[in-house]
Amino acid sequence: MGLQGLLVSSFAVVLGGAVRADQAWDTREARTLREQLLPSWRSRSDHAHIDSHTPDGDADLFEVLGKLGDVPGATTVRDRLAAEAANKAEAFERRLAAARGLEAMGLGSLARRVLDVARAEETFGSLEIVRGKIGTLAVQRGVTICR
Amino acid sequence: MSAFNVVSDGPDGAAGTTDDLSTTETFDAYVARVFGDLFAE
Repeated sequence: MGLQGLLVSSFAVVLGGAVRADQAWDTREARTLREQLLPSWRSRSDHAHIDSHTPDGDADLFEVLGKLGDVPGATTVRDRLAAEAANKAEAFERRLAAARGLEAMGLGSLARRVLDVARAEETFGSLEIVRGKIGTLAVQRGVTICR
Repeated sequence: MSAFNVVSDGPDGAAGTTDDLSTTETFDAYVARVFGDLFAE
């Protein structure tokens, strides 16, 4: 069983339910499991190992990868995540997951603009909500606003 | 009567800069204007 399967199945057993690995990451049980996994991860923290655990369509694993981080003194994970985040040919979701992995490593500045797009999208959603609420309030108060 | 819109300082947190957001434009238009260089043409 690969790291991905081990993580997911172990979290399911430890936590007894349908939780995603990244949601469970900060629980005490998950931290214990992570510490158990780290030695084997660090002994094989190379691109081939990364590829074997980050199949297409599972971009969230880049974020988990960032949480695992690099072997002390190595930059393999950092370099891979930075390259994925900057790859214009990749789907934005995958690039964003890589950027969030870098952020988890304390290296979000390497993909700041990718992270900014996601932040801007959240802000844009908030603007539309505020605009809608003000519009509703204006109707309730009999005020006409020009859109 | 002036148009009603909601604005934000954008990711840089500074007012009056090019990355400011506003409900005057769609999000797709905003991304194309501010972050167009991040994506393949």
